[in-house]
Amino acid sequence: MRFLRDDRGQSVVEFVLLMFLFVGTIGGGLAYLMAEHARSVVIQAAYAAARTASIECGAGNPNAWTDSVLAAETALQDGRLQLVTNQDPSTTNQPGAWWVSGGCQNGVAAVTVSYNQLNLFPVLGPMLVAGVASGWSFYLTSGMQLPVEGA
Amino acid sequence: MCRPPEPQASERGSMAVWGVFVLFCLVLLILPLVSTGMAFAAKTLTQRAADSSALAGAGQALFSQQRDARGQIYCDSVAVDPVNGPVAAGQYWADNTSGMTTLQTSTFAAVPNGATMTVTVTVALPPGGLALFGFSKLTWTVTAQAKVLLPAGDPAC
Repeated sequence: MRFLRDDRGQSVVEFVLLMFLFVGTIGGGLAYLMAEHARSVVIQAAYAAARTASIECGAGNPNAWTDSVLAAETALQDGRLQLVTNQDPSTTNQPGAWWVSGGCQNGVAAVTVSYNQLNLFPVLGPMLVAGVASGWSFYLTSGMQLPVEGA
Repeated sequence: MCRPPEPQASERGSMAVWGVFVLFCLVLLILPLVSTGMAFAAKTLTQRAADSSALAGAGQALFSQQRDARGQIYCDSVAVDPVNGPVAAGQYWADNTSGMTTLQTSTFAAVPNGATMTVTVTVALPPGGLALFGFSKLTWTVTAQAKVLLPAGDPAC
């Protein structure tokens, strides 16, 4: 029972236990803020792509969709998001996966941009509601509709 | 709000007490930061939705045509349709904010004035962690304007 009364090294043990809590709290907060930043960028990218589609479809440009995807990609890059693979994020947990879908129909340019944001704290994922958390990534998506110019 | 614990005679477990105290302070700091980040993302969305709403409203344009002295039809002026403009603006606002279920639209005004459509929206969002600092809800107003121009290269519209 001497072992139970011996408090040598107690501070180290407490410190280590608390470090997990500190790192979890600070890291979780950072992960959440990064996810919210990414969400803002994805919203901006969806708008940029929809606006490009709206103008280019209205002008009858056959490359309207290519230009829209490029506008979204540029907006995502301007927001400092890591674009790893051009793959639908709803089908993969790969962080950095991005995808643009939509088009011009019935006078409406509708674009949806999706992106998988890296999540360093997967345990906290379900608590952080920025997107649909799955494993090491947050699935973020934003849709935007604009009228086709001149339609 | 954050006061350090009083020193005790024995120092056993003091690290844990300090740790819990510091953790509590950290959470108090981080929660409002997180809620602020969430609010900024929502503000981006509402501004973009208002922009699209104004563009959609301005897209409902009424052109008036005249005949010149030689009998040629030309486009005299353009104005936003006072009936269909606000309807289209409201429709696009609703469509583009439908993904954000926590967002409440307090007031929505789409006002055509000549060739200009102005959309002003006031929205509210639950305060999240900012409730600790007395906020019952976060509200802000976004404004967007779009102007329809006479078509270039098509004198008759």
